[in-house]
Amino acid sequence: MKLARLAPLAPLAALLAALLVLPWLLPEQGYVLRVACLVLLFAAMSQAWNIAAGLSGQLSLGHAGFFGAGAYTSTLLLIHFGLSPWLGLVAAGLVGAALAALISLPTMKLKGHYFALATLAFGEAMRVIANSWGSLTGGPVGISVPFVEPGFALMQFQSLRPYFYIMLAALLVTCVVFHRIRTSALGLRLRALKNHADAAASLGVDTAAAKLVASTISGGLIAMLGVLYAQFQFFFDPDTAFSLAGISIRIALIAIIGGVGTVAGPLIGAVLILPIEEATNAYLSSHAAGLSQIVFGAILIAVVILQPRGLLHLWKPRRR
Amino acid sequence: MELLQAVVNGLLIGGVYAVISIGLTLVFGVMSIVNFAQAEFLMIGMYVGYYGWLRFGLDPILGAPIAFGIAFVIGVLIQRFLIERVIHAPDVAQIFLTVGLLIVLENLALVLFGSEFKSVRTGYQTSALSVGGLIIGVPYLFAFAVSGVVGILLWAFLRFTWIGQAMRATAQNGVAALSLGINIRRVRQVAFGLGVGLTALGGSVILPYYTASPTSGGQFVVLMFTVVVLGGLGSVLGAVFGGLAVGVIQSVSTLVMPIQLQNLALFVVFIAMLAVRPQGLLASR
Amino acid sequence: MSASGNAAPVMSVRGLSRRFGGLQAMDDVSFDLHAASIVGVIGPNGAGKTTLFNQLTGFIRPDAGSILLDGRSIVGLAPHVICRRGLVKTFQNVATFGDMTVLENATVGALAHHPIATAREKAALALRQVGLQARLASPAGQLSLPEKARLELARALATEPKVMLLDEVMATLTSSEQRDIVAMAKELAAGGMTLLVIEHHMKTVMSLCERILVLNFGRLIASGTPAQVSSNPNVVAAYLGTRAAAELADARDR
Repeated sequence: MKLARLAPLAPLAALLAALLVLPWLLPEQGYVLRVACLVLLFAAMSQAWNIAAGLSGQLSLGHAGFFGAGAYTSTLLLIHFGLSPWLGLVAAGLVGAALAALISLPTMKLKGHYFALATLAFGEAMRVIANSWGSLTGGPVGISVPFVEPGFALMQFQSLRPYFYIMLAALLVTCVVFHRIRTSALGLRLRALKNHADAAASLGVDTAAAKLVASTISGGLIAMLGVLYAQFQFFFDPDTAFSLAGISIRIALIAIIGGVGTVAGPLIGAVLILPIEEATNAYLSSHAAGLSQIVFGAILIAVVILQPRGLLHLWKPRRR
Repeated sequence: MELLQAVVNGLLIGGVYAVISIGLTLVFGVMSIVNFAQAEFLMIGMYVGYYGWLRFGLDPILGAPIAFGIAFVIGVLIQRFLIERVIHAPDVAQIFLTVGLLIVLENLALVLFGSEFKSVRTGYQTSALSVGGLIIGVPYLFAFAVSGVVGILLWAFLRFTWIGQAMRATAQNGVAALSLGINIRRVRQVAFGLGVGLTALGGSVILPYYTASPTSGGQFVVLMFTVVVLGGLGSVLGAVFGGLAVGVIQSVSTLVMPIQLQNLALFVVFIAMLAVRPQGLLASR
Repeated sequence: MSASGNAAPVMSVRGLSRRFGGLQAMDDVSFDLHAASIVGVIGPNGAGKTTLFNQLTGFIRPDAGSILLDGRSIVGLAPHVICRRGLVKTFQNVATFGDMTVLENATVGALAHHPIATAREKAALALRQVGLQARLASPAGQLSLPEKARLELARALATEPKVMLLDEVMATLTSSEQRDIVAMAKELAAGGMTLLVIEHHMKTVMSLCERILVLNFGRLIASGTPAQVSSNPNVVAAYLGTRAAAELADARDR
């Protein structure tokens, strides 16, 4: 084959190989492996977010709404109908996509703050509904994924290693989807409307349709990732699954810090942010609940203050 | 009759919603910034009111001006050192900054005060007046009265004081205001301080019938934004109208749906407003 | 040279009107555009030229009147639909997609009628037409202003339009670049395209356009050849003023 063309892929291949081997180098129930799994999961989530927000420029702060919906969908199907989470993935994807399409329609024309506001309200509304609809979701107490028997059939394992590979596969899938979209007609249209929506429209881009499609794909993917989260954690509650800070903001931050609109961005961001967060969490949680979140919030503020233009630079690589 | 009772309840609560939300719209009007952390100042106001009651036996309604004062100072400082830096930055930066503030404030409260719900006990908490067949809860009445007074004071402030007029001028046309020699930075600081102060005041005032916790603010986020969007972002009068409307909507909707889904009704209204008429019901266009 | 009244007009506007609050921005404007022709639109600032373009491209909905493109009404259609019907405009303040490459910019236009597989080639052709073939991979944000003007043209061309609305393309160009654009425009018209051009630069308007529409306060106050328009007393009175009239007389006599 043409070796020269494959050369740039070499570092990626090496990285992939390293990742494939990693779980066997770490204790299979260990803390580090657990963090590694979460890094992969959040990178995948950011990538899913990236598909809508990174390409079209619409800063959504409500993706937790789809995420939690996915987690609850598959878990409830498992509990009530014994449905395997693998099938639950499909159901979750449909639910997430439908919600995303539903939210996308009325918020289509909103810009900047208004759009962020609307999506934030959506995420919060989902959280409140899940908290109040106790008969369905179990309410604020949360819901447990029943541990029936370890194995692929029900996507539950005692060891962390299978989870690692599942998360890795999920990350690869989201990256491939992102890349395919970015280089497709849809991707070009999204990037065009992000730059200048009116110019895009006058060149024949159906901006509403493009945003709708991107949103739907993004919502569906992240809902499916919610299923993985549920199966990994075995327990979650509305405040966690629909968390504004813990999910919505975090995945946006990861994508933006790593470089929004690029394939590598979410990966870089997740590797940077999550371990730091985990470390501060581990160190500070013993002192007081909430301290680690203060640090997270402070980091968020610091990123903005120290780089307000830089944030723009990260958001739109070249302006004017 | 039930309906009338619901409407009256809604109006009483709505008055407070108005005061709570006016700050948000004021900040947006003057600085074009949506303060996602606004609801956290409600929580701050609640805690000031609570500790005023706990330590000094001060009724939360009397403690409200103190809540205002403390929040005002904090607000001015935050504006001066943080918000001002992103005034001309892109939306992303502003959104992230105020959301970061939201996270910090909420968790700071968690660390300082713990997560237990705290409530006050006042003499009039459970009393109610009976007016022509309608039952009017006294704490709600007091809250409404205070809101009314505050509303009038605010109106007077914006109308008759130099800085109030400067704020209105800046909200209308920042550049022109500059050329009139108005110190825009000072105006922004005052506006922000005033805005969060009012929200904090509202927090203290509702303490007799609401419990304080680090997440109290979060309960009000969607509500505040609905109020403000209904009335039009930037319009103080709109916030009054929106507050009353939201109060009534919330109250009346409990007649037809379970109380937990109140917020859902609100959310639907919110999204519908943004989709159909983002400039608010009162705007001329 | 230009198809005159015997063929059906490519675009037909009747009674176009639009109000903004108390201002009548467009007042009963009617005109026809034929294939293979270049028509200019002039008028003082605020005369309604931009409003006209915005109504033609679907960004503003007229209060009254009809716009027919190839015999079909386009009033009320979304801008992207109007583009696919064959009407495209360039933007006055540069609106190139800054963080996309030159080729990607033009490809967006080509996507109006082609799938991604062939869109890139079509885009490259359009770019060749405006002379940007050497800059395909450059980020559009890094282009010079004249290059951006050409990119605007190429992007619009890539949508394979029947009617092109050019909104003050000449503003940032040197005179030799302007001559290039003028030559390009004449080539396009010769190939069958219809161009409607807003320009302030009188010399360009005179040399480029066979016909000129004059707007003032939203009304069409004159329509005709450059010679007719520049000697029309209404036009002279309302818009040109003594200095511009002298310029015109100069340009005409050259």
